[in-house]
Amino acid sequence: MALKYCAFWIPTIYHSENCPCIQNNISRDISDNSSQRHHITVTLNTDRGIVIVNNTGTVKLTYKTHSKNGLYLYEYDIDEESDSSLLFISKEMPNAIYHIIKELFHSHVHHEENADSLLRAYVSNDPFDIKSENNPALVHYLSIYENKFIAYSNQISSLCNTLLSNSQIITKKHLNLGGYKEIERLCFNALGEALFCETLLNSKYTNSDNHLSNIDHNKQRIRILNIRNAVQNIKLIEKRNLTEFNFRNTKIAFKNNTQGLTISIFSIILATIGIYLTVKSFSTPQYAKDIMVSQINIENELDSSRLNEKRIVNQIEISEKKILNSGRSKKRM
Amino acid sequence: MMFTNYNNNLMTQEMALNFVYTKQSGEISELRNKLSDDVVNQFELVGFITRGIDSQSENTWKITETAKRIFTTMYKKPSFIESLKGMYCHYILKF
Repeated sequence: MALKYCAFWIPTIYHSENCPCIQNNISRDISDNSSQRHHITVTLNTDRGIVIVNNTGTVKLTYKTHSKNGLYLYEYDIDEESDSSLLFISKEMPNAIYHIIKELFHSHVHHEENADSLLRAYVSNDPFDIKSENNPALVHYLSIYENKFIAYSNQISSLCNTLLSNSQIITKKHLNLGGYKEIERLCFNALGEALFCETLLNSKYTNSDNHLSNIDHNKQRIRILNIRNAVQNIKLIEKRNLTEFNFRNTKIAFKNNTQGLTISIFSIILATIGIYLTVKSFSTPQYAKDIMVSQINIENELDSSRLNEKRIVNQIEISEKKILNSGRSKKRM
Repeated sequence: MMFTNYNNNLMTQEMALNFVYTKQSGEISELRNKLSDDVVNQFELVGFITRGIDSQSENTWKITETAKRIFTTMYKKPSFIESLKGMYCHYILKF
């Protein structure tokens, strides 16, 4: 049996007495190999002890203490002679298990879910105090954050330079506004993590005083400087990226508006010319006279036909009266 | 960003992301050989790849959705619609 000590950093924004427990039991398949499943259950007990179970064995992590900056110290035994598939925990705590343990206390805010599984838990064979100045667990997590923010800074700046280079925009005839959004998203993830990192940087156990005689303190000072400058660099890149994105969007909107305005003015000119030609064609004297004459002719024709109709009706009435009168005179006879 | 891999070949971020995008997943040792430790560590820290896990080890890796999105938007050939938009901005709006 080998006794191990593990310090989990539960990312927190505030220094608080206790990290509230969000859930006390998580079951998950941590394997990415579809032919070889690996189901694991992690349970948080009332005494803050953690039990990790898979189908071949169990590892119990005994809670020792925690500090206000989010570091939790656990102790556990690993039987290195056993054939349990949890043996790999004896070397270092796998990211996937640390990620599940974090989820017992921490909800993923200001970063994507897969972003915070990238910190490695600190495991040691020797006991250590998480409440001492520049303790190994604190230094371990700050070192990871240092590497992480420098990596973010390098990758984001490389992406930004690619996007802003003329080859992407002009030769490919590709505006690539999606690229700006991706950089923005990456900056957001980095700055979200920086917020959590600040809790460690401002912990009372983080000493950054530059004592020339103390090499560890000097390293810590450089580490903190690197983290802060990398974060500042990411903020600058984000600002530059946002400015470029807004500039391009505004330019497109402005050019579109200008094109729209030109088309509108052209349409108005065409419509005016059309109206003028129509009015002009109707007001031509000869044409108007022809219309008047034809209208008068039509009216005259109508009048003469009405007169003819009246005459015919009168003649019919007179002939009917004559017939009636001749009939009466015959009866008298 | 330029870096040299184990074979002393100069590689760019585009080439490294292209390799990761094409392979999608594999052994971590192979990736280290191809891209160098420094780049693999950076990709892992930034979240472009995640370490896989089986019952005994964490020797595999796979690409993340973030890396897929970034590669397709930044380095992949633009789609027909995107090219049309680009040409509209270039030729008509005179960008």
